[in-house]
Amino acid sequence: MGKLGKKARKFAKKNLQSVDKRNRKLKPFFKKKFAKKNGRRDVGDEKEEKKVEQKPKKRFPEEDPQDISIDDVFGKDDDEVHHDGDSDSDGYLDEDPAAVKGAEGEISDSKMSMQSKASLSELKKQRRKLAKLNEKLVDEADSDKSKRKVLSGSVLGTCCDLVDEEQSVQALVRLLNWYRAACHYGHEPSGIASPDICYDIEDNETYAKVMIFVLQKADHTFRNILGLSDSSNKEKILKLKNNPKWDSLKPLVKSFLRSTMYLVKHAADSEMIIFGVTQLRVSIVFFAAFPDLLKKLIKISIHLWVTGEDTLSQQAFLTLKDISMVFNSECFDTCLINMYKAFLHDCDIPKANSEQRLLFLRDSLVELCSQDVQKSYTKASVSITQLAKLLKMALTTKNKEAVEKIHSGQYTNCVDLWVNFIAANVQDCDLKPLVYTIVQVINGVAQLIIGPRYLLLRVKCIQWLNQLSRTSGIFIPIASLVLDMLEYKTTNDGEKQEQELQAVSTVKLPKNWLKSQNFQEQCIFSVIEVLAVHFAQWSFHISFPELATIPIMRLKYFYERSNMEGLKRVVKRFIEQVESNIEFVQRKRDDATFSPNDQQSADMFMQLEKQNAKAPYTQYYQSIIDKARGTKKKK
Amino acid sequence: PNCSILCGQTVIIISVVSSPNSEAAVGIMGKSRRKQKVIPPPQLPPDVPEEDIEFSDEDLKYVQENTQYARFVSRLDTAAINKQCGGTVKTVEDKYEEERSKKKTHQEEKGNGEILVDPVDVLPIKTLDGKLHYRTEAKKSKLAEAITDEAETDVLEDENILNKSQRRAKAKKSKKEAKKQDKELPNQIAKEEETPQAAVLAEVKEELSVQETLENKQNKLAELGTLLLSDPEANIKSLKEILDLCKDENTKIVKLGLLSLLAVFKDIIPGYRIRLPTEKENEMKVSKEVKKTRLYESNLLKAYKAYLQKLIILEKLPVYNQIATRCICTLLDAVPHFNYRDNLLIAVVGNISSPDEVVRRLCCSTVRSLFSNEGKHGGELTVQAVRLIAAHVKAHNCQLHPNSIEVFMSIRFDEDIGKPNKEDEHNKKYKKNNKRKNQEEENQVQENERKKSKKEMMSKIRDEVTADYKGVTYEPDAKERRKMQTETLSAVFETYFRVLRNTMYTIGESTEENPISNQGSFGAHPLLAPCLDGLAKFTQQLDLDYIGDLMNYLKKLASSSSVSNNSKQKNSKLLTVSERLRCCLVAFKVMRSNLNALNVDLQDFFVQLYNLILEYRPGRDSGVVLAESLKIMLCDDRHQDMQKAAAFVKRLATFALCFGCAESMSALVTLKNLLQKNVKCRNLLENDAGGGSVSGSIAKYQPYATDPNLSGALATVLWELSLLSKHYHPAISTMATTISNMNTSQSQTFLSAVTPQQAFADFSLVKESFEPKDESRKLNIKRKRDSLAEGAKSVPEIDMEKLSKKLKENFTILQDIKEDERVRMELQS
Repeated sequence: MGKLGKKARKFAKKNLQSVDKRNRKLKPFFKKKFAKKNGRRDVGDEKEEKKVEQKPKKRFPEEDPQDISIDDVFGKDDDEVHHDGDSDSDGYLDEDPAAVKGAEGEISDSKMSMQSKASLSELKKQRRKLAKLNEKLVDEADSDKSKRKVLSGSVLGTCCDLVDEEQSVQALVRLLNWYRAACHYGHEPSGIASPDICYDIEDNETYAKVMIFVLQKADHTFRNILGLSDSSNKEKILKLKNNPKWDSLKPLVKSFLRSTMYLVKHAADSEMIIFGVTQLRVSIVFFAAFPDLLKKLIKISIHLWVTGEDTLSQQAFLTLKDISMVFNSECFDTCLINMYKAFLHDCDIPKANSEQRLLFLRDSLVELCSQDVQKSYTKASVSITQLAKLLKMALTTKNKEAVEKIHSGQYTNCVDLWVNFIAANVQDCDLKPLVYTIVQVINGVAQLIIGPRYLLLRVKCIQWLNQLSRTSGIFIPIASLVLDMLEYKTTNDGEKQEQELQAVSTVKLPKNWLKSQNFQEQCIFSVIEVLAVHFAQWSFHISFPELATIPIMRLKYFYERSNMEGLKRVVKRFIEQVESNIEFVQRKRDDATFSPNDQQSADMFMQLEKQNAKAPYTQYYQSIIDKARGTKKKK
Repeated sequence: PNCSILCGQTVIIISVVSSPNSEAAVGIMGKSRRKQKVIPPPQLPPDVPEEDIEFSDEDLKYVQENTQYARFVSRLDTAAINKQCGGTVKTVEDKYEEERSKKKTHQEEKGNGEILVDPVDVLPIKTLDGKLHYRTEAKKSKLAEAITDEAETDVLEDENILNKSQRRAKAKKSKKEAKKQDKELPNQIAKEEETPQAAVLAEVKEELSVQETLENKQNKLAELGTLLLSDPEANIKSLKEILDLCKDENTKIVKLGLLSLLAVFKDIIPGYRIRLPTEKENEMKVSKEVKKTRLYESNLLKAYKAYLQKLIILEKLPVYNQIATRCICTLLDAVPHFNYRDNLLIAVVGNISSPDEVVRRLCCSTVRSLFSNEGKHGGELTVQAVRLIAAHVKAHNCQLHPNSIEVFMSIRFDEDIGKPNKEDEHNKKYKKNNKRKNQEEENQVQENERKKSKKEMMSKIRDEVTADYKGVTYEPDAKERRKMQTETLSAVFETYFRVLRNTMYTIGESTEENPISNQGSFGAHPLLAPCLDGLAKFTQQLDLDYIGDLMNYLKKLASSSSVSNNSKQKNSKLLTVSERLRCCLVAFKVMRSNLNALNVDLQDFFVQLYNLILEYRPGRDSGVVLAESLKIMLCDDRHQDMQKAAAFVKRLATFALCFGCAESMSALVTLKNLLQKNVKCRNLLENDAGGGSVSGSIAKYQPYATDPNLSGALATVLWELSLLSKHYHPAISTMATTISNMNTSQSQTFLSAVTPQQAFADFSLVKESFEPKDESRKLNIKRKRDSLAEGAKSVPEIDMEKLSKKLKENFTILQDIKEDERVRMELQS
């Protein structure tokens, strides 16, 4: 790697970005040689690389079930997100020579940044070159001493006071430089890497102080200097360009944000990270001026959201949410898409207490989606269409791979996500088309994957349908799906189809469970639970007696044939309650004066009774629902 | 040709062909031969330009006098013949034949024993010890080619019959063979060299000797097969050799032998049946050619017989089961006219319900092709096959694979067989007589006594020939065909009735019987479904007398499970809902195809349907059958009484509430249809205070009633529609709304064109496109939510002291690391 090569690369990087991009795609190994050069980007970029490599394979979604992936539907947006996030400078701030001892002003910001980024060998060359260039201007021997700055507690104290009381920009500059050093402390070989200026920190006391002080006060100070209120939005920040103060303050803000992000990304301790994230969140508006940093922030936050612990994950999500609120037009899509991908990616990785985590992730994603229903609507419909495509393939081919994909965690979680999204927003917005498609998809899943071993999935499907029905007020028949489960008890080991589809899946029950009594109980309880939800919704509808006719008939039939007393009692009680409900509705119905085509009157029918909800069967339904919820929590 | 006339038509053809002295005969007979031999495209007669053919006067006269003999010439389907025999279509065998002959001539040119180097073989072979060898063994390479030829032809032939897996296996096998040959080659060459490594080679040779013998046998097989194909008459004896090879202990050789023989026989079996000459005939003096032909034929027949015996024996062994069955099936399919076809048929039918799927499918497809290509064997085999299957079913007590009866669906029954033909025949006879009379008159005038006697003799011979011809050919006249068809029909229906009776019997008995003992591997009632399908298809052929019985059976079957309601705890023998629905369906189809000529009460079937609707379960039962029953039993039924229609309307509405959209839609379509036909039932759409004036004797609706007439449906209101109009599926909700408005809307005449089946198919999830109905529509957000959720500002409590402590610790650690690094760096430099 001679000088020419490096120059050429530099030129290419500046002016031929498309070439660079292509190179990165085509030659991942080539890239690795330069990985050192921008060590920070390493982790993220390698991931990126993988994604890019996989992409060409997924261009023909119709051909092969393997190629339709749910999480890749928004693939194209991905490329632009993280590119060149680091292209501009990240170095120490220029300290005013008048205020601070030392005369290194000649060395420009950009040069330094290059140095800080460059790898060791290249640095040496660079240094030699620089030395030649600046021979006349800089006396190397002198500067070496003056460049080494050690932060002691007393200096820090005065700086802090200056910033606190007078909002001194100069002091702030110094503080930020030290802050940067502190954030990077231990992560970059400071002694050798930046020989021209070296910030060193005396002891841990100062380290902690500078960290905490800057994190706590920086945002406030910036706002004070710029004269911004706490609630100023991004337009104000963008307007700041005309403000003369902004010119001087911009590098400071940038340095602060950058250092904090570095801290968040590299710190080992979760509390430190949380602290950093919360402080970043406070000054989120400032990111308006630095779109590149914003992209990076999104990436980091998503990573933390998916992988972090409870509080961290929550804080990261709040950051994301704020970002998508503040920068709605530009960043909402990016946030949503990347969170969606991260969520689905996370589904497949088994973890401890993953159920709760996934619930949290799902809920937060739904919350984000609900921020802008219009935009999420298009995303949801794309994603659901993808789900439907997969399902259709599985239905038509019955291909083993395709079927496996359907009962994968990814698929079910994706359905779950959109069901919850629809359920959360269907009352406020007209989501009918989505409801229709997702209901058909769920029906298809239930129809495709049958057999006692998939009891949980079946129950899940019915619960989804119930949820959709309850929130949207649309009638979705579930009886046939439910009543199939009554039959599960009679099936014994003749289930050959299930054997074929053996795959590790959380949805699938181990085979030896099937014969146990516990399993049968579980079946019946699930049946009663979902039926109770279904009936509770329509218990005051005028056609409730007819709705319950077939299920009651089946349950009675089961009751006659079953020989398990415990179950029989439960079933019997359920039948009695439903029958009393039927009778009640029938009695009321006899007094009705309208005909079935009078939809309005039918809707008004028994609304009064519904509001009171004191009928014994209503309470009974409620008790069953509550009980089911309770048992679920226990698990 | 005079002398050959004595020996019957069969011999005539052969001798004429083999002695091309009389060209006219060649012209005619050659063509006729072509016609007969349908399967293997026969060799074209030597290309003689039309004008070169000279007809002798005698021949001309003969033809003129006996025009009826030559009539078939005018009826020949020349297009088909051209297609079959034309030069454009070349089978693979032809190509190989050509190549081989070319090679032969080539070889002859070069002289035997000369080096034969194929362009491919020009490249030298490098042995393991690094020496180069040029291939010089003419014989070896030829043999190798031959065997690959053989294998390839086999493969090609097999491809028609075999399923994928077998084909793959076959390909693998042939590949393996080829590989083995390749491997062998250097070894053998090395051996010929007699180098110092001979000792080592000897060992190798010993080890390989087994393989070598195998190799040799394969080569021999190939050689013999090739010889046979190139000139069957000269090499007919080779058949026996191959047969002997088939007695080998190596299964592979046997299989190869069987397949080679199959290929050979398929090719050389003539298009007529061979009748071995009687002793009397043997005593007669015959020409050399005839003798040769006779010898050839008898040899062929003997070999064929031996081959078939071998096959039938091997077919029973599990190792050879597949291959032998394949041979048998192919033979039966290719030469169903030839001798011993009955034995073949027996073997095929015996395997028709084989547990091996490959074998079963082979047999079934063979039987099907027999049924659909009756022209090849004149329908005789159809009768036999059907009879054999009937016997088979009887012997196995109906515990067979459904496929074995499904084949009946391929039988075609010609209603007006023989009717026009009879007239034809009559005319023909009349004409014939006329002609004969005319001839005789003419003759009387012209001829002298000698000629007259000769004429008489001729006519006598002709009669004899005709009789013989009839015996040999497979064009039975209409009468016979009718008879055969009747027999076929009776056998088919016998089978069907047997199945029905057996099913009834098992249902009746099942309470006492141990269900496991009689549970076949094909399910409870394996033959019922194809049997019902068949009955529905052939019901027009069924005698009216039997229909009463049939209906009784069906009635009992349809109501089977409701009869023994209490005792069916663990009874798997009961009919499924689909089967019972099918019974109802067949009953209706039978009635309809007989134009309702019978006075049978179908009420019971309605009752069954009424109950079956409730028992239907989407995963288990076929929705298609349900939709079909709805269509045939409810939509197509002209006059229904109000009570019943109302009951069905109510039940269908209830049904629609509980099932998926496909079922719901087909139910709603039927419901609408019923309401359109029965104006009075539209009272169900009105909520009449006081239960309505039309309600029958039952004042209150009984949702669980088993009899539609006793349900009191007229007393109720179709409240279901109110809920259905909230259905998530837009089509169903609009349908429900339309139905509920039927009474008030004026356009009552419009009839829905959609059948329940159509609705079921359209709305089943497999067909669902999953496209949101109108995607482009802008969302109209009903309620603006508060722009910013205030609660989101939650900031976690952070213990600053703890944090600073942690920061300090962190710093210390980092500092240590840094220090460490620095020291190390210094040490290094």
